[in-house]
Amino acid sequence: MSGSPVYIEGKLLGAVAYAWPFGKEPIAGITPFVQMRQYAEAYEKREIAEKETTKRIGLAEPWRIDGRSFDSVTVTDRFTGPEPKLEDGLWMMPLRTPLAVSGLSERSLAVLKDTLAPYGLVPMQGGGVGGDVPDAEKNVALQPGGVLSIGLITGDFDMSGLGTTTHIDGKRVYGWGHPMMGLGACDFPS
Amino acid sequence: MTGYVHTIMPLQSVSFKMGSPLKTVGVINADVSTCIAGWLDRKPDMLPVSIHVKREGAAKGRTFNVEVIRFKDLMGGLVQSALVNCIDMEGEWAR
Repeated sequence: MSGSPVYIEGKLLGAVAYAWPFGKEPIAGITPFVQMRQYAEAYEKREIAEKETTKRIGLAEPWRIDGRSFDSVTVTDRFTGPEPKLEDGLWMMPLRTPLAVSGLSERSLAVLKDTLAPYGLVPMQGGGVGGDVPDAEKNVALQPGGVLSIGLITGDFDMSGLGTTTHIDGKRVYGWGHPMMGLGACDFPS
Repeated sequence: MTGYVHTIMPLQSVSFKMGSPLKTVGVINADVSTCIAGWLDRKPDMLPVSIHVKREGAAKGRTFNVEVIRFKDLMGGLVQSALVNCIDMEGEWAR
């Protein structure tokens, strides 16, 4: 899941943030934790148009994956537009943020569809808030590897982005390995 | 917020998880290109929204209370979505 911490010899390397479409190998793109911390402390902000870039990067040596050889990889930050096909070669795409929705009708979600799409936010019906969750899981504390969600709507019905906690330093929390909307400074419930 | 993952939806393109939020434990105050970051034990500044729906001819209506993030690009859509949902749950469409 996006934000899952990756360690080497017990040291935090970063967070899982990109995936290979159609990939059968357990390979993922990782956001370095040092960049997560630096950017968060600087409240770095980028406009959507600036974020939506696609770059093709040549590889020093060809990679062989699933019996095919690749000499370059395309890395994109785009959430909109057609998804790459198998014959398009190697692509790394940002993991989308699923919006868990509880108690919202299909018509009410249709209202938001076009508004949310440019941000890579995909609303989908989740379980009831706490309703289908085992009692032992309801009071689990935030911890690296556990769910870190952001509520857009909370209360009698709910819409929340879901990702994974990467690191907790005292009361400071880092997660996801990618933005929710790339707003810079914000004030969301966590 | 803490949360619970119910299942993973396996897709050939990119798989994703389905889950539910649980408890609010703090604030996310940074949404940057490399991560989100925040503080535990703080409270966010949300827009409180109370919507009362009463069907014509009904003895009493129903009130829904939610809080919406204060982000101008989404706030209008989120409040409109909440309104539509309240009508779907209690109004003519629910019958």
